[in-house]
Amino acid sequence: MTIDIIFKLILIASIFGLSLVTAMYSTLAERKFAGFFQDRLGPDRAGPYGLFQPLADGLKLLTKEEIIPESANTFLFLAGPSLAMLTACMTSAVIPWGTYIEVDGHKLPLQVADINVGILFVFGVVSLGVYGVMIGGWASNNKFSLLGAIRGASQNISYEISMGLSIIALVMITGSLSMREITDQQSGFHGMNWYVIKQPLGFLIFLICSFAETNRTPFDLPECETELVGGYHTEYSSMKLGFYLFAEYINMFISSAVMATLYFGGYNFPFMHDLGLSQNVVAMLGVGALFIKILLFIFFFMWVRWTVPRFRYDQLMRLGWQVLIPLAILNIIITGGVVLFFQ
Amino acid sequence: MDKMFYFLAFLAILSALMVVLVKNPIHSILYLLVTFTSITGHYILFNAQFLAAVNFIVYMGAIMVLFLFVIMFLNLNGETEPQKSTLVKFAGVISGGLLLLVMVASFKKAVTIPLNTEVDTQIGLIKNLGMVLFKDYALPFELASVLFLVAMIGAVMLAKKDWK
Amino acid sequence: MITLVILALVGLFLMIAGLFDISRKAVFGVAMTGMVAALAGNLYMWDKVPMAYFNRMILIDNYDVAFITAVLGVSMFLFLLSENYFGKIQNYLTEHYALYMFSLVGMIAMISFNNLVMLFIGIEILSVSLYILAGSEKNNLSSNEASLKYFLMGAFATGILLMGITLIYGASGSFYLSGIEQYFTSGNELSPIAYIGMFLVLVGMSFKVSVAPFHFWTPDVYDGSPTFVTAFMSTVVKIAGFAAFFKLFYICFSSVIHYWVEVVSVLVILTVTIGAMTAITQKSVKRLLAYSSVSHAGYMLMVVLVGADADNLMFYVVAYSISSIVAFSVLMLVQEAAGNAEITSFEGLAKVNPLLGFAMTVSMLSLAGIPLTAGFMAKVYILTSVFNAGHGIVVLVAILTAMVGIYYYFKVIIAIYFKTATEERKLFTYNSSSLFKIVLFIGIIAIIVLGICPDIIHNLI
Repeated sequence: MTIDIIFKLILIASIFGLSLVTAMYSTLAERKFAGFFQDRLGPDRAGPYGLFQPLADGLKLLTKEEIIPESANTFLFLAGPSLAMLTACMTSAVIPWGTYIEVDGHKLPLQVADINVGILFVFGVVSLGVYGVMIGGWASNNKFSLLGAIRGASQNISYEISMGLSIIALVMITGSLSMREITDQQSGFHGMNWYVIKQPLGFLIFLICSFAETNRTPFDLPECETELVGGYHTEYSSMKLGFYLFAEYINMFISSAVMATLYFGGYNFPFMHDLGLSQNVVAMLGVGALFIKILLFIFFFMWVRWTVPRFRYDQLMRLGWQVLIPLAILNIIITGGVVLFFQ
Repeated sequence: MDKMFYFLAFLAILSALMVVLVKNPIHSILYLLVTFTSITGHYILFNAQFLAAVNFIVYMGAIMVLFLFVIMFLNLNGETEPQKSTLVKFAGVISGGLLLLVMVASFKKAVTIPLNTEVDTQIGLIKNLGMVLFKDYALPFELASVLFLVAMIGAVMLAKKDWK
Repeated sequence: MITLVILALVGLFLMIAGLFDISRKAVFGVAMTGMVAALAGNLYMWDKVPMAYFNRMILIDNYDVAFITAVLGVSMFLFLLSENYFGKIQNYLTEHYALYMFSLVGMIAMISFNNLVMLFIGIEILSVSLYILAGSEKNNLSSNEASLKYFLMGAFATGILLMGITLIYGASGSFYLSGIEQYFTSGNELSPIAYIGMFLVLVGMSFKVSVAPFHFWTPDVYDGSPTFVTAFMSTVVKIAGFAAFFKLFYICFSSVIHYWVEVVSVLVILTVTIGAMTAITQKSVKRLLAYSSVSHAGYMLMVVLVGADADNLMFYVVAYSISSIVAFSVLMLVQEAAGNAEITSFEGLAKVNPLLGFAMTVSMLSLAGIPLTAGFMAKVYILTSVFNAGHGIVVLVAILTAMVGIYYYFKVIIAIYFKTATEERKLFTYNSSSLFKIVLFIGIIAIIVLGICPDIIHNLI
């Protein structure tokens, strides 16, 4: 019993640490990739290849002057970034990071909580993410911030619908809402029975929606600097601004993890059961495989950001309501038909 | 479990009171959010995972966001709140007090029934809920879709511009 | 059951038909055909063994068939008199029809419910459709006001009703009527929350059928809504509302009638009094009819008070609905010609258009309860049964207020026959097709025939 609890604590700490480190180095990677796509070097002064750049950035944000606007609602002004950070970190609890490892005859699953409505939990937390943006934007008492906040809210709600619909189609195949069960179902065919093959359209919709949910380009209208200065974080400075920026990268990391888990087999990797390795090694390799998938998705996020221009607001809404939702419903109908046919 | 229940119940009632008592409507909404959170907690205590998740998504994630959305546009402040006349306040206190009296009287009469321990604790899980919803309650479930359709027609009819 | 499915499908079909360019007549024809088919499917169930559907969610016996027939028949009658209303709708014509179909679905669920969940969903479908229809004249401020008021108050009442249902479930452990009935008849001591639940349900239902003191929304909503919608709300919707109200109280709570009989008598007395007293000062016929509908709700509530005799309720709602619809359809024409619904607009109507004047007069007489009209027999039946049940004071108050009622109904009749129209008003044309005239004429005949030989529908159930 105690070993379970200690293990859970270690797991929570390491997942927390890992998401923070990944998010930290995502900022560096973003700038490096930006440099690459624009044919320039990117940051390379702090440490070898600029590896200490995130630390320098963090230090800078921490030591900057704290400014709280006089007309702002102080409590909510502080609550905004905290909420953004909180919701960003919550999802990682239900993601299965690996199968299980055996210590002393104990089976220890590499997942903080295997609740049987895991997907709904993810979905719920994602939908809470908008509060950080809205509260922060409103509390700043600044027109640009408010506009950014309202854009964020309507964008999130609009895209949540098609995201939910694409998940429904997936759940119709899996017959389960537990993230672990869904991952385990994908281990067939030498660990390559991934749901992206059965749900290509659903995956595409989910992918597009996760761009909107994380407020990434081409859907970064809540903070688009050409129209709204800085959107909802116009008035923020120092680490509070840092929290908002950081939350975005953590969100990106988490949604990459969710996509990898739901559609790309999670910790399953080709021939995982055919190599004859011991369980612990397979589990570790699985964690590695999951992280490779996640990093590829993060790379994809950045690739899109530096390639595709930003949408106009009406285009964004039209895409959400008139293209993605009908497509997602069509996907549900097709999936339902196929499931019924093979029953 | 018991302590957890009392804590959540206390939190729910306290924040529900604060919804009514605070002046700033945005704060009201945030307290309502806390209320919903504690209700979600209650659902989890019942092992009703699906209800908890749906309460989370629908109420906290969607409906309250829309509330916030609208109130941010309205720019309501404590000062602009209309003041009620003394007579109305008086009438409110009396009728509220009467209701409280009835409630207290009836709960004073209430007897504590020993907990029914044979309740199926798995009933709140999504599989069982689905069975109940699609077998026993299939007709209300389908009619609910008519209800939402009507609401959608209404949104389109009342909110869209006339074209003729 | 088949009725419910047909109406829902016709509603859906009409919505899809709205995508294509089809004529008004075709839309009207589809809606009428759907209603006729639904009515046929419903009448087929007459005098069969009571049928339960979908895990006893709805249970259809003669009571339900009779009231569903009344709802469908009255709405068809109303629709046939509606060409002016539907002719003027520019946008979303098919959606309007679909809303009426869906509200009928809601009413049928309300009438034939056997489970409180069905009752609740039926009421909600009906209410939401009505909120929208009440506000369907978007450029008319009072229509917007009506919609918003109705919505806010209705949502509040729904909350109370739902709370009541929850508490009853908490006490009895069942949503089924039979389960609740068993709980109340078992003879065990009732849980305190059962009483609170019962009274919250009473309040919620009273609100929905506009019984005083929960009638405050009625005048504004009825006055602000388009007149056709007002006619629909005050007739068809009332039938469904009282059918559900009576069924719920008759089956579930009649064994504990001594707990609520005083409360309901007070509600009845308040309703008939307030309805009659406030109607006196009204200058607008539309508002007058709104208050008159409140006072008639009081009479219908008396059937709940007695706790038996569904026949009387049936006869009353039919008599009241036909009279009201005739009145409303004349009002619609006058309102269109004169531009308002004031009593003065009716002055000299008998000379300008005798048929309309006569129709209005007959309906007013019937609403007032003058002998040889349906309204009289309806009142006689109900008051007799109330008197036999031992509620003498209620009968006394009802008769006194009915006399007051004669005063304000006759104001309209006097305007029609004994006042002369202004020169300008003499030139008004009342656009009515021959179909309209025929149907109106049938309505007049029906009022008189029911007043002379009421047994045609009385004693059916």
